Amino acid sequence: MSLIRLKSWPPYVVGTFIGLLQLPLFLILNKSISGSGGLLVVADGILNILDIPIEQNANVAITWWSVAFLFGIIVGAFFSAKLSGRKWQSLPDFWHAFSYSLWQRCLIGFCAGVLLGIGIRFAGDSASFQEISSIAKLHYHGIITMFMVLLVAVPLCRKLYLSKEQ
Amino acid sequence: MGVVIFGLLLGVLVGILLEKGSILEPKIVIKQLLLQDFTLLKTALIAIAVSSFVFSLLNYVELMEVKAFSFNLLDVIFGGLLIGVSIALTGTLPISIPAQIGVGYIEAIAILIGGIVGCMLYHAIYYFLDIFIVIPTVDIDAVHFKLDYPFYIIGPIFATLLIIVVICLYKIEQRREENNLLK
Repeated sequence: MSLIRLKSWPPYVVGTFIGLLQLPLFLILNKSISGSGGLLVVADGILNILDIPIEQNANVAITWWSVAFLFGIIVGAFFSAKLSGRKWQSLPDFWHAFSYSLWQRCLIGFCAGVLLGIGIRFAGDSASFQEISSIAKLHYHGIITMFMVLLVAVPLCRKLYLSKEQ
Repeated sequence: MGVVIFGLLLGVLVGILLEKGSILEPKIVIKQLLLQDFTLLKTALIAIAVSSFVFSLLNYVELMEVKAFSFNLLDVIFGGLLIGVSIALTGTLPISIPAQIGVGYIEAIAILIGGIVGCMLYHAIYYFLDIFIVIPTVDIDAVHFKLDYPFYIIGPIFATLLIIVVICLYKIEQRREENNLLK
């Protein structure tokens, strides 16, 4: 119990646990961990309700576990934060540097989210945890996606945040 | 129903790991991209290495086949670039969006809604692109097929290399801390 009350765990422990979670997921569902699967299912579900025909509709019924997975992450992060006595923050503190209002930050977040959603679909659900699974399987598409993410994110970050720091 | 409960429990575990590992913090992601902090890289490399060991084991006992499938090169390049822009703007990895909502970041809700809208918009964009652009397809999608060795041999070698990289990162960080103390 005291472990859960710690503010943070070493990256080696967290990385090992994330890697080990692949085992039950594969043995029970024959899947690998995907961070964006729930997003895709919700989007496809809405299109389904709106009666817009899409190719992926066939998968919606069998992937509700990924929506539950998404909800579980919210619950897990909430309780973990509460147990470790984390102070509630309304915004990521690095955005303070820009002095944006909440609405402006939400608008930036929404636009970035749209890019992310389109990107995830184009890259074949290759984002974050799915990225870990596909690189671990030595799939070229995972390695290329990671390279492209870094190719654009590193210079953009330097442009956006280093100039603000100075 | 059992599968949904399993998904929920797995999500709770991942949520705890994301919060405890601080990977959901935009500051950590941005500092990683600025090469000022290696927490994210170390976590990701260890997770990849352990996953690779797990997949190799499953492959060895013939429970898992690491299949090759074709993919569209331009799709993956374009998708990767868009994900990169999004991560640089928000400091949020796709998996961190629900975790950020869990710890109370209001903006994460906007990112989540944007993500769902983006996933829906894709169909319209792809339909439009598909008419005008012929996208090249890459047929072999795994390194071990190219090397012509089974995955259970290449996987552990790859994982060991990643662990060596993590040890190097640890040494670099230690040296940085020592230099900072000397200053």
